[in-house]
Amino acid sequence: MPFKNNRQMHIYRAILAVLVIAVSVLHTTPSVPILSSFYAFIPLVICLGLFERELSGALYGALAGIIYDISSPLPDGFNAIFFCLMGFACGLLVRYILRNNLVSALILTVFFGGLYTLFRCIFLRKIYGEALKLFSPLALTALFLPVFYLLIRYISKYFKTSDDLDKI
Amino acid sequence: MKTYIRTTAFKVLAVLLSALILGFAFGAVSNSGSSPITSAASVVFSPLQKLSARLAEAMKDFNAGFVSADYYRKQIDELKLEIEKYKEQLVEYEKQKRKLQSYEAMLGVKEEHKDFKLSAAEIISRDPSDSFFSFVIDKGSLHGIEVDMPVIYGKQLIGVIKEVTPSTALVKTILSPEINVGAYEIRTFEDGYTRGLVRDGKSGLMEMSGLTGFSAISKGGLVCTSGVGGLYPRDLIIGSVTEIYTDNITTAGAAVLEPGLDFTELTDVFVITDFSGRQTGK
Repeated sequence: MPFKNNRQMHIYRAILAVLVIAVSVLHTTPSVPILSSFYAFIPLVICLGLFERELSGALYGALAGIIYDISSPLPDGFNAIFFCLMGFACGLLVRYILRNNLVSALILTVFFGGLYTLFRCIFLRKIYGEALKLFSPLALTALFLPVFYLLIRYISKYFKTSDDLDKI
Repeated sequence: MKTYIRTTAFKVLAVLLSALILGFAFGAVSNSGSSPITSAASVVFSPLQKLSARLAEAMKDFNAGFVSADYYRKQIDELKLEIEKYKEQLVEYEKQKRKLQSYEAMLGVKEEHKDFKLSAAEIISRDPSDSFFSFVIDKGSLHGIEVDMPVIYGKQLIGVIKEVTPSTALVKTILSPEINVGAYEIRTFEDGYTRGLVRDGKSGLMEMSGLTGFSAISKGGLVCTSGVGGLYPRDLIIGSVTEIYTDNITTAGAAVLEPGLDFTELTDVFVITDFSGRQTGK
């Protein structure tokens, strides 16, 4: 077990859950200029998938998606399922194919961000000109990825005793 | 792959996804359009979202207080300009209001005296040193104004044109000792003439002379123009009686009058350019 004891593990998971809830809530809060201008939960769930692997990634993704579904214009449940699968896929990829580093995170962010935006375009029936506008938060999402990556990396390193984190 | 399907992680994911899909499918066919999962999440997280929104709003105001001094300065400048604009509008409004009142008064006179030909004029200057409140109007000979034309405000006789230029005219008021006006008291029909009176160094009054020593005129009586001489039309108000006295030597009576208007507050007047029975002073 990478944690010193069970207590450390529970605190760690609680902190991550609070982080997911905080980002998801702040993203949907009006008058929060930075967090609401890009898909903040995408890099967050991706980083959680990378550091926590598939199961935790899926659970945190589902949590973020369920909160976002409350205020999302997309069909009910779409975000929960999408982020659940996204977290799972990221965890799985880093377990078998990718290395857990910033470049991998960036590739995954661009891929899943693009896919998510594409779904938004389809569901929201945006015409071509407007659809392009939907892609603009994607650049900002990629730009903010290091913030989430380094934050979760720091939290993981703080709580975990041994992991492949040291190899990064 | 086959081995991975058997792992706990995959089984948990399958259960989680199934639960999500079932929940959302149920929501899709239900009347509310919202799944039980979203409803439950809404119950749990909506207080948090409300709190977050309030905090964000509070922070927004907090930030504005610090960050945007320049914004406030700009806003103050804009508001100052707006106030200036409104002040100008207010001045214009007051001006129009006074004009309207004066036109209403003119209309009343016009209805009563159909023979009057009136010309509206604005007071453009005053001589502050003149104790009898003479003033200059913005109408002159080009507008048909002539010397000795009476000037009124409503039914009140104000004065008479004494000097005319092409574009302006000087009006001497009935408070001036130079101006004599044929007058009568409306209750007793006693005739006389009025002119400005200076008493104890104070102006603003008129004297009605030519009364008999046994005059029945009483305090408060109204004195109007008699029309004698043809310079002023009949029945314009001159003023009201404030005092009556008898000359001990000549035994002739006289009344002190005060005008019904404060001549210093006039801004617009009307010149009677013609009326039936008018005789020019030439």
